[in-house]
Amino acid sequence: MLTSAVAAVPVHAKEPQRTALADDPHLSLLKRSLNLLTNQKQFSFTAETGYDSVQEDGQKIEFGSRRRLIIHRPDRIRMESHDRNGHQLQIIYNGKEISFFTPRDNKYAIKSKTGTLDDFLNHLVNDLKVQIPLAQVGYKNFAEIAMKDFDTGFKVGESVVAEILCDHLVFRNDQIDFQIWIRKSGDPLPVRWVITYKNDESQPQFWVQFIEWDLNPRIEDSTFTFTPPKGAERIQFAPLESASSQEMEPLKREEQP
Amino acid sequence: MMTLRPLLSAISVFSVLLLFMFFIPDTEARGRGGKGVSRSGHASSGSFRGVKHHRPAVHHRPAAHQRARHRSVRVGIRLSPRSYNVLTCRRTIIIHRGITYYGCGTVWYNQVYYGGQVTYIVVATPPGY
Repeated sequence: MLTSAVAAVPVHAKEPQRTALADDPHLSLLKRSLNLLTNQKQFSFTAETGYDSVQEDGQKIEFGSRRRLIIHRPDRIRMESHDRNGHQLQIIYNGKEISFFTPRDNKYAIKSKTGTLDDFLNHLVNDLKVQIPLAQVGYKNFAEIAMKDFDTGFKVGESVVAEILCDHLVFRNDQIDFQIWIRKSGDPLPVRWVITYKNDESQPQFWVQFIEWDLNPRIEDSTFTFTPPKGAERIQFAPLESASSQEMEPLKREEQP
Repeated sequence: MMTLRPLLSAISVFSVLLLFMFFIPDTEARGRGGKGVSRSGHASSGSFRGVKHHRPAVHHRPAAHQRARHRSVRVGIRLSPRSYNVLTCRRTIIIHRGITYYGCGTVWYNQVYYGGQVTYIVVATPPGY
């Protein structure tokens, strides 16, 4: 937490200067980068992600996916993930409806849901039990939430990632170590980040390599409208666990495919 | 030679059975993560907090004791959200009011999205079955 912030220790300093994290210039650089996203009315990015799955015997195996997100605040998002094992998932929310589509199964589901992007993301995680890494950037107060999580931080130095000159910053709290590479020229967009879950004995990591950012993506009517492909079968979402006493209701006649 | 013929025949049958045992595809254990390999882990969430996220429990197939338990549950009430990513039984498939039902013995399933994947969950028996 910011109130219990310890020191920010520049790696190049011979005698580390202890400053409150809230006043640290490196934190403000991170803040500037994250605020750029939260203040942006619309943006899109493509990213390659990977994570360690720790097996029962301690062996770490990496899985991952390519993800593309298009966000249009306050209430629209399109997410596409393509896992390395071939599983694909497309999720669209347009302030009125949520749609899921999995091309490999050729199945889809649609349900009504109104509200903001925050409402949708909470519904996605808490009710539909879907973890979408990086979707948290869609939260209105994403920057604020992320900043509260760090106790210490410092700048490692300049670093070139994917031929882009970046500032390499590191932050930590009692649960994670966070590294981020922020583009030095132009908009301070994140180029890469790595999260290490250090309390786990195997210290698994989650990493993201941002491949393409667009702060002014071309959005068409179809971007946030799901049209079922020919032959796709409509199925339902699993009943919410909070509604476990309810029956599994068949589709209403007018909703039938 | 005449007495050896039944013995040779038995050995050849046994060999075929052995081959079958070793090379039959293990369809029951077929999962999206591959047999014996877990894809889960809290690092998969990409969360900035270190809290552990538990992915929905997806089971490869209904076990015999689970099937027995399901039979005893009152028809018409949705059961627990236990889900399976594949059904290995000999399925009966029917469509009722636009929904596809998959029957394994007396237990019926619907495909639903659970945790972002298409899975099977146990549902009430469709009318007439």
